[in-house]
Amino acid sequence: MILSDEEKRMLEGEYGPGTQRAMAFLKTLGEALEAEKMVRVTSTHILPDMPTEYLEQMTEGVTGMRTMVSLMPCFDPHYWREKYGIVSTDKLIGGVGLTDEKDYATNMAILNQLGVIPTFTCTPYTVGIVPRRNDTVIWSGTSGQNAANSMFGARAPRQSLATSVASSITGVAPYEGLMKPENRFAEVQIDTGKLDVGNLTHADFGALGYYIGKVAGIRNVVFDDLPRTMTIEQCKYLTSPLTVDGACTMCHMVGVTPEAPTLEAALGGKKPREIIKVTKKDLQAVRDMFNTVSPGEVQLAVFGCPHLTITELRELASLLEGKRLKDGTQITVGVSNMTCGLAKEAGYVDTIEKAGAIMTNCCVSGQNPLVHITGVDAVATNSARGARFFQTQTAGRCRTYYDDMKDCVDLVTAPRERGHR
Amino acid sequence: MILKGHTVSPGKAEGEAVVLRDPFSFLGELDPTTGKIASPLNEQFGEDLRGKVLVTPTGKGSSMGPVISWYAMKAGNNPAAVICLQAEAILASAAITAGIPMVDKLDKNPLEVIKSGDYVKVDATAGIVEIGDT
Repeated sequence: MILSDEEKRMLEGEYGPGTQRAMAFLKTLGEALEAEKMVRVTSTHILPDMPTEYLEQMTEGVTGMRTMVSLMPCFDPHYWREKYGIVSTDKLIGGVGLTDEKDYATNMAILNQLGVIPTFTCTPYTVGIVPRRNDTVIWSGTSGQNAANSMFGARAPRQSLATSVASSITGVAPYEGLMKPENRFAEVQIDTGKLDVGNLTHADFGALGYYIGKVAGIRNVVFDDLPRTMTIEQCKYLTSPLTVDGACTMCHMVGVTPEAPTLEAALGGKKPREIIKVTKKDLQAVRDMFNTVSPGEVQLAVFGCPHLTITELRELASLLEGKRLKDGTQITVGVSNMTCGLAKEAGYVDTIEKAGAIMTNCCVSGQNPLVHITGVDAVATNSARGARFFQTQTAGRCRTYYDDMKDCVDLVTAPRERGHR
Repeated sequence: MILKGHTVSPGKAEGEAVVLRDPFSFLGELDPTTGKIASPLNEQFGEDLRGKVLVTPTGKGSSMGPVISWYAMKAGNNPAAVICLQAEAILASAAITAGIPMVDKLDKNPLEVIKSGDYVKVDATAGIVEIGDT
């Protein structure tokens, strides 16, 4: 692998041990992936509550990041203890996040000092971090990677948290995978001719994305017959489950994805290696897999995997207007601080909270404190990605109910009686 | 039998093989506190991967894989080595971060020639895999 003089200086330790470790990691990874060189990255997106010892090692001697770095959402142990009295007895939440307040504070102090932008969201594109076509971004969070490629035409290779941390420190990443134009074409064409694509709900799109992710594996896919008017939310629910049990990180939606004005363009002028037909039965099988609890048992409805957009918050507020939570139930709403601020201005948060729901900046998919700390084991969600994470990250303890937002809201709410506050 | 391949994460290790037919994600599939397969939807749910040579087609799933492999490393609960058909970036990152020797692109399909329970030696630095008594 050819390194520039500056990259060699990083590798030789001229900029301190953290930068040296970051470049050594990227070089080993680059050689593993047969990258011939490093390239500059436009932005990175990292997890705040990574292991503290790891973060300290990687940032030892680092005085600033070499690209724009923003943050994933996470469980903030101080916030949950102060506001809701929830304290974890486990070291980790959701198998990943820190529960130790001191470690969390140490991480945030390091990241703040290095000038990281505290976005706390898995959808950076909802808070103004919108990549342009051909920007190279190294984002943690496979749903964000997929959005960057499939909605915005950025070069967002399938990479890990470790790569995004190392790229934050060095400003570069191995030139491989979806960074290369020749690797971005679709190999698999999805035929949705048997579905009424104009009337698919968000839960249908989620089931479709999960199913395609599982059968496509790591291959790029193209949908030719989806509406050209796909909304950001529809794209989000379709693309975010592609990587849950798969690794498909480039999903061409003809007429929507910038580099897919036509089917031929998406396929790079070649014939697809495979055409996968999807039927209603396939979508129902996914719904069955994610419906493992009876509606009457649901204790918690979870929205915001990936984080809700302002449009979805408006819908949620409308659904919760004049409603209250049924006894023994709860709703958590995953959203970035910035979108939450906007929703407050618009009055949506007031309506949502009046119904009893909790606005949260925690990563609801993997680290929901009600599931992992207070032991809730029957969750309704409108997210296929979230449903799968709840099942796997509790080793099957948590059972799920999967349907659209309105259906989930209906399960856990009742009309508010007159005079009830 | 000796297989030759390509270094993903350098190092040497040996142990009993566990062959998974499906791609592997450290997050969701490995419980770092026990070293066992955590996903109830995995056919080998509960199988202990500690000190084993994991054979899998490739990686899948969450970009947080290296966090899990890091915690599993600290607890001594990682697989001893990983062999796959073709590495993808997240599985490779998880192995490199936790110092797990890993190889891919072997000259024979490891999913066909390695059976669960075989004793396997992996010299990932040299890209060599030795199966059974050779």
